[in-house]
Amino acid sequence: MPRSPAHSSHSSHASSRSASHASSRAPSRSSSHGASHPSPRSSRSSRSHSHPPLSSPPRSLMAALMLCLTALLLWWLNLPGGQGPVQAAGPSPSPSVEVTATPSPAPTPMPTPSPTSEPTPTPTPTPVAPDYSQSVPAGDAADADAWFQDAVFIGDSRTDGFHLYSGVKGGTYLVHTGLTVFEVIGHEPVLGTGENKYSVLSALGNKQYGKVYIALGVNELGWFDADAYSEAMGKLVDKIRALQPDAVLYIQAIVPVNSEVCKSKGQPYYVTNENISNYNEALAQLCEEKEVWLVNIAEALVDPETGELPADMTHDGVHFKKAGYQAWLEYLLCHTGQPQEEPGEASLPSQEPVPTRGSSPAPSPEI
Amino acid sequence: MKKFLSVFLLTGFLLSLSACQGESPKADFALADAQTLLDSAAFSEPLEELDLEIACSLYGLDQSKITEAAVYGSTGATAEELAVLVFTDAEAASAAKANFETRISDRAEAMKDYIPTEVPKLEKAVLEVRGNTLLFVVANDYAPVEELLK
Repeated sequence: MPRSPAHSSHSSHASSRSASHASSRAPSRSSSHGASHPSPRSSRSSRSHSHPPLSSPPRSLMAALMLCLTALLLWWLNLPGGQGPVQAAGPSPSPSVEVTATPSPAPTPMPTPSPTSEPTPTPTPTPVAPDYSQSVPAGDAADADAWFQDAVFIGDSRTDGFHLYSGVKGGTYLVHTGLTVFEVIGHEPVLGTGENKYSVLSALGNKQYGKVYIALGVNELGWFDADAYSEAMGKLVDKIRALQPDAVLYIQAIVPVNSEVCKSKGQPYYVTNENISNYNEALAQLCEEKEVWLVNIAEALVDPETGELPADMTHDGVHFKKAGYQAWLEYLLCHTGQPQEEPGEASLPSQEPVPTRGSSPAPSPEI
Repeated sequence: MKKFLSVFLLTGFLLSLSACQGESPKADFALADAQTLLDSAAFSEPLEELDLEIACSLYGLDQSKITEAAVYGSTGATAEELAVLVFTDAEAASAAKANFETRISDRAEAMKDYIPTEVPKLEKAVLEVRGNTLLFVVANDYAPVEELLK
């Protein structure tokens, strides 16, 4: 930074003159008296010839004086704000810039080139472990045309209605009106027609699926035994896992009914929301124990204030109207249990753009 | 007297001629017939329409043989259902009749332990083929169906 012209005027008259002398003297001794003055030697020599020599200070005194002047100059250069000799004019600093102490000039080191062959490590998303103590959380909606292509549904008349009226694309339906979990694990031949009937589990063993959706429980309410229901569902999970080792299991909670409509339509006395609640509680514990997803489809259908199936969503208090099955479908598409990711520590460098949380595509399900 | 006998004989002759002609062919079924029944008192609850692809899957039909369809079913509360189908030809319509007969027997089997009161509806089910069209009805009240069939 060029020194401020005002700074030199602050120095004392003696130091300014000494500085000028020092600067003029530094390059050449002969110019110690300035350009307008002849060199001392020449002036002395000229004077020595024409006039008698004047008395000159001793050499040691001169040397001492030079030393003092040099020290003074160096001290002055190191003062805060001191800029040294006047340099080439440059842009004066803006008044808003705070002038700080300028360190002694040092050669600017050449910047070390950063290695370009090695990409900067980016955080690798770490899959969040599924929490089976809760029902499957909502996530990005799956592709309605593709998601159920490798799915199989095991259920009763409600699932039959889902198949017929939800608008679902794809899927295999092992459903039977009145089906119970006891019939399924008991290998009852409830599917098929006439003499060609077969059991749900035998049908399940014919093909490998990516997802297995189970919705059973309404027809078991008459047993008034949530523990027996849960135990049977646990056995069903084990059997399905043996037949479909790579499939993701989804156990759907029992959707509550509309009490008034059930009564007006003469539904069995055991079809009550209290009974359903007991069964669902046992189901939730089972899902956590077996580490399978509980799909709380009741969230899509039930009035949150009453906890019941709305009267305008059912004809008989138990089964849903078309709109209800469609809402069921939408719920399944948004509750797939796809692994969620959270930012992890920087590990291996990633060649892909860093995904923005919530906007990255869902990974492919395990098949 | 002679005039009276002549008129009497002539009338009898004309009546006998008309009897020999037989019944006039009934019109094929049309999609509008489905709406007629839906608007009548034939069913105990509103039926929901089924997608044709789903309907073919349900009844085991070849969708390529069907040119027009109106298929409706219960959402699970009853065994009531309705189908009016127009096939590519009479042979396809006749062949499809067997599928619906199977449907009736399967539903009766399922309903007898689930909702036994629905079984009589299935026993009275209407299944008729006219030309390349087919009508299948499981109703709560068959009076409107009989009226349509006239």
